[in-house]
Amino acid sequence: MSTRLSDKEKKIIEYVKETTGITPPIANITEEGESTEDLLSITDVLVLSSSYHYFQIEEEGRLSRLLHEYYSYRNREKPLRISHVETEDECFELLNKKRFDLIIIFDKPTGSDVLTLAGIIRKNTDTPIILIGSKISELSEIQKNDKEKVLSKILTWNGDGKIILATIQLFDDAFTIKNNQSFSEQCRCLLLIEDSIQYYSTYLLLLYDEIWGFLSATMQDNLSEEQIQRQLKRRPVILHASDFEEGRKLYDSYKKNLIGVITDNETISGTGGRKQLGLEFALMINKEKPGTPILIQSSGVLKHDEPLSDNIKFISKNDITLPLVIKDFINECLGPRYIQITDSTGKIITVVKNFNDLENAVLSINDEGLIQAACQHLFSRCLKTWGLYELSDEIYKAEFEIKNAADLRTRLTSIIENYRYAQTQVLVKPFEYASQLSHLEIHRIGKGALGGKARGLSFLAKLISKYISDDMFPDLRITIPRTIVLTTDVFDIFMMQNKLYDSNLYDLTDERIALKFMSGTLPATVLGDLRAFIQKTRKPLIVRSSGVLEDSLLQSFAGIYDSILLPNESWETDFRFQDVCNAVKYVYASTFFEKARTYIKSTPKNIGDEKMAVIIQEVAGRRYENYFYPVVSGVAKSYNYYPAGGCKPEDGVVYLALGLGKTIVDGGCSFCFCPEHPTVPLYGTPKDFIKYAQRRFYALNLRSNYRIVERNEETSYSILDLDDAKRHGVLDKVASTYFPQDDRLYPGVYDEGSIVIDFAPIIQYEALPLAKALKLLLRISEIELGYPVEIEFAVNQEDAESHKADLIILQIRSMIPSGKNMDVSIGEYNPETDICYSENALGNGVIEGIQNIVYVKPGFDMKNSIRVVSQIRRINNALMNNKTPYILIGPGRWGSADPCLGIPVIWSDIAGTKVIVETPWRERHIDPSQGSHFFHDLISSQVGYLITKEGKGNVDYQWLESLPVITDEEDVRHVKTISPLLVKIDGKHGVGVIQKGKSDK
Amino acid sequence: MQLKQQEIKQHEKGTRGVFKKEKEGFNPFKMAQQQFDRIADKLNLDEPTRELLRNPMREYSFAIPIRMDDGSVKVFRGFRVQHNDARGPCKGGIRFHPQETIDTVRALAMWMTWKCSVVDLPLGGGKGGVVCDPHNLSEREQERLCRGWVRQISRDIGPERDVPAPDVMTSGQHMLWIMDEYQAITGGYYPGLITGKPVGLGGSLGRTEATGYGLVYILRELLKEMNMDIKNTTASIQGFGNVARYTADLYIQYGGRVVSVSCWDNNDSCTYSYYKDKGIKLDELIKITDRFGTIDKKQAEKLGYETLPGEEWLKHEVDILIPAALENSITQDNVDQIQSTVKIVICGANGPVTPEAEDALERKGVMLVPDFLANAGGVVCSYFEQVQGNMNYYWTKEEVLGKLDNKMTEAFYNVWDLAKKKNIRLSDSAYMIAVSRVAEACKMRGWV
Repeated sequence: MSTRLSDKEKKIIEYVKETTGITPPIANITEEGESTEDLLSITDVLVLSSSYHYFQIEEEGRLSRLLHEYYSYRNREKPLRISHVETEDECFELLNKKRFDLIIIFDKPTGSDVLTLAGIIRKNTDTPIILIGSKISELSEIQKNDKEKVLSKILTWNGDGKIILATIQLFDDAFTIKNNQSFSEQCRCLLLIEDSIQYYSTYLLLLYDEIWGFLSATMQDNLSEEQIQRQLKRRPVILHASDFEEGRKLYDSYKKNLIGVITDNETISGTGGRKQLGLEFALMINKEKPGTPILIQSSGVLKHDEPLSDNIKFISKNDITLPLVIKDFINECLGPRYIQITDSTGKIITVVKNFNDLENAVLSINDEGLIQAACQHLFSRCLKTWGLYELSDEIYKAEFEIKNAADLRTRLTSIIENYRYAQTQVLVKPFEYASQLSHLEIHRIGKGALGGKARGLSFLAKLISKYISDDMFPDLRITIPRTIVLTTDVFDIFMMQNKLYDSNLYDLTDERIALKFMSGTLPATVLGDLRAFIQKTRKPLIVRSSGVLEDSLLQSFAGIYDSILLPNESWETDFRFQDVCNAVKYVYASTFFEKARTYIKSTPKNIGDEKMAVIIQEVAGRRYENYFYPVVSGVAKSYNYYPAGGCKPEDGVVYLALGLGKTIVDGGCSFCFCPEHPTVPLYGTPKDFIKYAQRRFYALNLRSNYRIVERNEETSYSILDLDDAKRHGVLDKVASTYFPQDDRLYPGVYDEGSIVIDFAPIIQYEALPLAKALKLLLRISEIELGYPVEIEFAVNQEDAESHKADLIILQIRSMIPSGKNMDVSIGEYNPETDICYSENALGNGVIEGIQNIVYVKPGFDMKNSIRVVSQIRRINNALMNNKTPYILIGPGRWGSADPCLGIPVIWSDIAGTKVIVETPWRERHIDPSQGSHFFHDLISSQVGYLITKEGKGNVDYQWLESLPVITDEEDVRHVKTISPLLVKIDGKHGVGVIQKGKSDK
Repeated sequence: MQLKQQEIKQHEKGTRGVFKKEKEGFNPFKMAQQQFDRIADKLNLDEPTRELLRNPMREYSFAIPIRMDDGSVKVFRGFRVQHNDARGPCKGGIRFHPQETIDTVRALAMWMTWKCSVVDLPLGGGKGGVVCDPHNLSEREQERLCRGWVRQISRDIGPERDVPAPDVMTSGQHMLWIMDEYQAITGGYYPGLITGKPVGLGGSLGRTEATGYGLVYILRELLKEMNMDIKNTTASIQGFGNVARYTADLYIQYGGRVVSVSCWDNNDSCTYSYYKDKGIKLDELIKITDRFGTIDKKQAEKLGYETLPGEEWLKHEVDILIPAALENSITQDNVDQIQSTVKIVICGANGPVTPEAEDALERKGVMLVPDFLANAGGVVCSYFEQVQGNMNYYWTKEEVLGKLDNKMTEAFYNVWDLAKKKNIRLSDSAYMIAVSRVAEACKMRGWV
């Protein structure tokens, strides 16, 4: 089990294990999908040397201590093993028994020729063979005679045992960089071109000393395990070449990661002569990667016609300060381990050692310190040191361009936030011609930003891939719709190529803007991929905006831009392709529509800040005859402000409907249940329920004649009834049959009785583990995000015969509207200010601005409850016509079917109300009318419901009667306050209050 | 008048002995046949099939007498070579060139057959033209030439036989004259006779860009297969005509950097290449280019371009070389001047790389994309134009370019997959696919 998980992740893993009994995928992999083991390649080393030499290494070189140091900073779980043999025969014997990662021959073993020995070993194994010796002349001779290159490296030794470690490190890194793609992309490379055995042996020791010191110090920096692993992956690596051809190859392969170059000015060329190519090579690198530190060292003089740029330095090999220069050079290449941000007096404001420190510094240091740090490019340098190159480049640009502290801070914060956000999302892959869009993959066309909605989707995909595995719900696969994203750069190119920025769009009507955009052409760079996608996609598609200013989680900009639903029905790919192109262009156009312009004006943003990506998604569902719809669509909420049936608010609630989710969105008939207690009935008797059960549902009409410009969306939808559903064979999982003689509902469809959509087979009898899956998803999302969430989903069965289905998550969003807080704080009852106070309130939030109150007069006799309905209806209609919300106050159970228990209004009679107050009726405490259809309408309309008790908190009728009367009916009065009332409902604690306005106190 | 007579004399000199003797050592038709023979060996084609495919099926040579503006009459030589039509009507351009030779045309017609086949179009290969220099002809004279050409060949071309198109020094206007004359002769409306028509008169949207864009689609996919990010690559292009410009356009859109283009300078009668390390700006170069494709040297230098001899185009340290001018640009004489940084040579022109140079490139480890695959975008779009014309229903540019992209991409992957499977060069793979399809068609029709 990895220890690199955050607390949040651990909490979610525990919850998932507890709920499903299965460990989620994230617990089985490390942060970047690899274990520490993958970074280790050399574990077994064979040393062939005389016992004397080995003694020298062990004692004088303090090999054990060095190994221990090497072991500890590398954080290795498996220690390095060194085996020593003294003779050739022992060597062969050991090689026959086991495989070694590295063979080191120390000096010339007695009585043997090194090259012959190495040749024999080479015939039997491809393990690298290193020769370490002390006599330079002998080593050079051996190097010259080694025509077949049996020796991988020849090094010289001056008694420093670290040469062994340097050798091991050199080969370990070379192997890892070649075979580990993740490592090769992240590590930082220093290129060393030197053919002299003496010099490169010395340099390797010097360089590794500094690198080990740097890493060792980094490990002591109080980093998390995750950060340590990241640092190890991004550690500096030395690439050694003996000539320029080899050096060039290494440069070409790893130039992206290059942090510096040390090169001789001349080496032996392939043809045998010596070539002075060092300066040429340096200039070439400087041209391609300006600013790269380069150190040229030579025994001779460096001749150059023009002055060298500052990053290219020269030192003579005869200079006694050569070792120091080399050390300074590598430290310059490594960059600062941490930065100190100072003010103008030099006083240290803060020290930045890791990414969190950097983020905090950007947010908190004063303006002066921020500008000072930016001028010195401290932030970007630090990020480069940590290997975050792309982020470093972005930050560098900001440091360079912005000189104003406030703007700089905003920009840096935004860049860091985007980086953070990107870490939480699933990788969005570029679309390939041969791409098979599979489960949980989102593909992109273009190289720009994804925009808010697409980021939200990739977050969803990541959530599912981290915590849900296929074996948790064998019959139910949790997934997202197949999605492709046209990134924001496509929008930019489209605007430029069609010269749309030049036209004065703000003077045109929305229709004219749309036509202008649709007569343009999408960029050629995306057409092929888009067409290839359409060719493979035969389901209806929805084309949606994904602007960079949108935040799908917090719902800012929700509903501002347009979405287009396409039947995608034509047999001709080109028709479908053209429809999608037009839809994309229409969504682009909606960026400039009046609704968007007006909305953006109300935010701190400008219309120029908006860049539009576009999502193209398959609609969830299946084809039935000429219609398309999912078996189930729904909305699940992790917090229920209208709890019923003994469920708590934090148990959440789920609404289900047959067919497209438009039913739920439009407030139509749907079924609801509590995911914590799915079998608890939230509706009264079956007879109560079936009156309001879903009888009709929405489906997409695949033969509809939908034209984008006309926006005749309604033509796309058909309203079907249960007979159609029966014919399509979808009712077996969603319906029960009501038998009036038993007054009971039986799950399934029978020939007699009435069909009722109650999802009993799924919810009561778990034909699909939908309730469990939704409960898990709601909880995981809530923990991950830290606030209550609402999830929109659909359930689809591709194969009607199969038991398997897909639970397709369409969207996830916060339950708290943008800019609002879910916590409402209400103090104790205050008769001076409170018109009424309830300790049994449903709903949540603050409602301001209401001045109209409609109340049933005190002393009212419930026998007359039926006649009250028409009075209330009249007042309600008048207020609704004026779009005026009001508070409704009356005794007993509102909406009750029994007129003795309450006023039997139906929802349309009181649809204009924002708050209902139920006052006590003759000391009888009536249970709130939860579970009925009336109650459902109340929830859909987000109407607050306060139930008062006699005594404390009951309605102040005296004050009501002092207010100016607008309408006075026989039993009902409509009054208006002087100043607006304040209604507060704390859904968490079930407390609500209506308070007088200032002038009315 | 004297000047005109001099021009006429020069022209006569050029046109006498129409099929000029080939430059010593280079015969494009022999080269094309050599290439074919090698592939026929690999495919084990039988002798009759080889014999059928290594030579054109039909060749027409004819005189075109034209009354010039000054009243005199000149007789031009026109021709049309139809290489093979087993898979469908012949397709190929009409060129006006003073140095045109029959062997060049035969080679081009044969390459057209392979080109149409490799991208799986239901078309055969043809080519033709007139030996003339349109620089020396007025517009009216060119019109009479086009109409005269049709009068001579109308019996042997047509929407269902042979569909010409523009080529070197011919344009959409020439095609319209040809179409108009054909209709006058046959008495019907045949937009499918000819392709390359202007949009609005039967032409297809996207045709202008098609060859250049088609090349970049192939390049894009090849770079993906070679794990190279197009944004990090540089290119040098020979030429600055239609193919070169649109290649540069789309390549730059994808993020690549073009450091050099080259062109013929009419004033100095030689070629120059224009180099800018940071990357050329297409718009600014186009603004200083005349209608014959000559870039204004002085203006270019003012804009920061380095003017170099034309042959320098292939010596730059870039990742990609794109010969997009005439044939025979990379030969064994200059192939060693190509830098070691070059990883891809992708042929925008027809026959720009000789077989010897191809061998040398292979030894250097450079990936060569053959001309008849890389520049097939034009003929694909011509085919689309035919189809639209025949349906009398014209597509949007998105539809044309989207289809073009998919067609070229599919063609590339067919070639790439076979090359990987058989461990052979891309050019061999492309040839094998192309030739085998044509051979199969000939067999199925019972010809061999």
